[in-house]
Amino acid sequence: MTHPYIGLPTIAYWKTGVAALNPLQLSGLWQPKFPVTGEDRIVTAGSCFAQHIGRALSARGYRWLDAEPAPPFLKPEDASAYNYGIFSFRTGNIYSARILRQWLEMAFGAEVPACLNWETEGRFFDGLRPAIEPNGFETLGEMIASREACFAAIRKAVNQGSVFVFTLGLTESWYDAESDTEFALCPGTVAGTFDAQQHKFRNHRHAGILKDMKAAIKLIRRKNPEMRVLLTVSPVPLTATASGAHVLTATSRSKSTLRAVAAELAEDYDFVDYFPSYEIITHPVWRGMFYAPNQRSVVSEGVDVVMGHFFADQDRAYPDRAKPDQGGKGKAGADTKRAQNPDAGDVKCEEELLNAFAR
Amino acid sequence: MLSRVEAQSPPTKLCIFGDSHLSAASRALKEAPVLGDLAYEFWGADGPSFRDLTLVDGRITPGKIAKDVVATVNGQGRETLGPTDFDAFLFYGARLRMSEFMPPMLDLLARPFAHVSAAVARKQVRSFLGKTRSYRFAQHFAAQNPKASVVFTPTSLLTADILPRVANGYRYAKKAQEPHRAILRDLLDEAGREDGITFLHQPERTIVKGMFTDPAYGIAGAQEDKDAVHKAPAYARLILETYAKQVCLPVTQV
Repeated sequence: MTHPYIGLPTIAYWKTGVAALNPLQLSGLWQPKFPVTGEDRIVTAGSCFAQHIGRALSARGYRWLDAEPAPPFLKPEDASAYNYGIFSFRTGNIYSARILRQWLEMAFGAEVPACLNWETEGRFFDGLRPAIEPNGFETLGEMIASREACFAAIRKAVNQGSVFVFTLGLTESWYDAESDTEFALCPGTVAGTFDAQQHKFRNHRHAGILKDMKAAIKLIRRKNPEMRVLLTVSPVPLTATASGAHVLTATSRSKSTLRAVAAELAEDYDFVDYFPSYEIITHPVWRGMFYAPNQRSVVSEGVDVVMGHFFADQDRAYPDRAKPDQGGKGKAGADTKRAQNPDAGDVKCEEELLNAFAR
Repeated sequence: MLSRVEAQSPPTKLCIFGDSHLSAASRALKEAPVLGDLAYEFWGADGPSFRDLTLVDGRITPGKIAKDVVATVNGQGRETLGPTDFDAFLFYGARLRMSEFMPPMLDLLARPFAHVSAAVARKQVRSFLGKTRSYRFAQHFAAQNPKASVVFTPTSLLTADILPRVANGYRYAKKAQEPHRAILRDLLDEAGREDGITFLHQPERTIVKGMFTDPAYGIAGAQEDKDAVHKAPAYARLILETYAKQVCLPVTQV
């Protein structure tokens, strides 16, 4: 008698794929759909964890595309403080699919509503990225000009990139009731003033996230038909939830929804892939060993393991792909430069600021 | 534009401190006594010797390499230079290179859709100034002798048409206009004010092609020697005349 579960590769069985191995010996967790080569121009965006991926790729000489580089003479620590060299453009963390969609649509011409212009004590903050300048902007005009520069950088990245790495982070969000525009963070936390009538909470559901991601991907591909998309889900738990649930269950609700969306997108599009950094960090097989004592932050060893899987699985699937160190192919160029600073290991996470409100 | 130094009275004793650019200043003063009755001394060293100048016990002190050069430049036997030795200091050139600072900054300012916030721009300026030793000397002098006039005239932009490749990579700086340069001067002035230092900037009329000095102000033989850095005494004279007008004359005459 025969059936489909006979003769599968070892990774298909829990016993041989997981149970028989030390967790640090697991392999083949990812079957990449396309090679990431030394010649690719890699765009990174998303939540905190995407910073690790960009940094690791850059460190290995891959062509990480910095479309909004730090201006000349800026010290590395200042560049980091002002959010240069963190993502491919100076958006700060993009936590939700809706905000990614908003950024892309606005960069390519959609109207920017005034509700995104925040003022706090005479300083101006961008509701799309309120923590981008530590003390806000001096004038509204300056803030808008800076945002326009970011839009230009997004256009450049979309037009010139070849792999768009996006890390899905959160489902919970705050939006403007009148315009339905979503904010990067809840007004009043980092900047701005919270208005209960104007600012509403929303916990995105699967269908909505899928719709937003499809719209974002469609826009990217319309501008750059060659762009491939590599999705990850941030393994970093929520700092706080406004859902009314316990933050632990709210985290599961959020991450599982995002994970499902990522899977569905990867299954639906041949140019979209999902890399399982989320599983590598969160799965019980690893017993939480990659989390810091606060059970939230991911330690550098965890990032190393994640990226080890990334490159190992790429090597296994595409052993002949052009690598950064192969005969000058894909050699590290200006695209790969990232802010070299003493805090280079620190991931910028505006959400972390919410911790200040934790009792 | 040089802002008025808030001195109680015009200085009586000036030290012109610098590097090889002192040569043009010296020649200019020999050609015309633009500083009037103001007593002045030169103090400094050129080229590699300049790097041998350090602060020792609060005084600019030459090492073995620079000692003889300083003696030659000064000619007055002043072996070291301290903040209270003079009531006015003009840091002349002294390796604070606008040819290094201006082009990339102008390129960013003149680039479409590029933007740098005021806060970031201040950080950039601070970083640029802070890495230049002579500026740190000037900061020290201003801090140690608040009554002194401390003026800094940075090294001018490179002379145009001598090193054509210099402009490569500065597509937008080449098209920069006076308002772009004014933004950078304002930023330098702001930083200088915080440090008690007044900037004396390159006159706008000597600037061509966005980021260069008019060849009319280049040093003699600049083209043959491929020397885009040094300037003619005519340029130094412009600087010194401005300095004299702004600093040397009594307050009532300004």
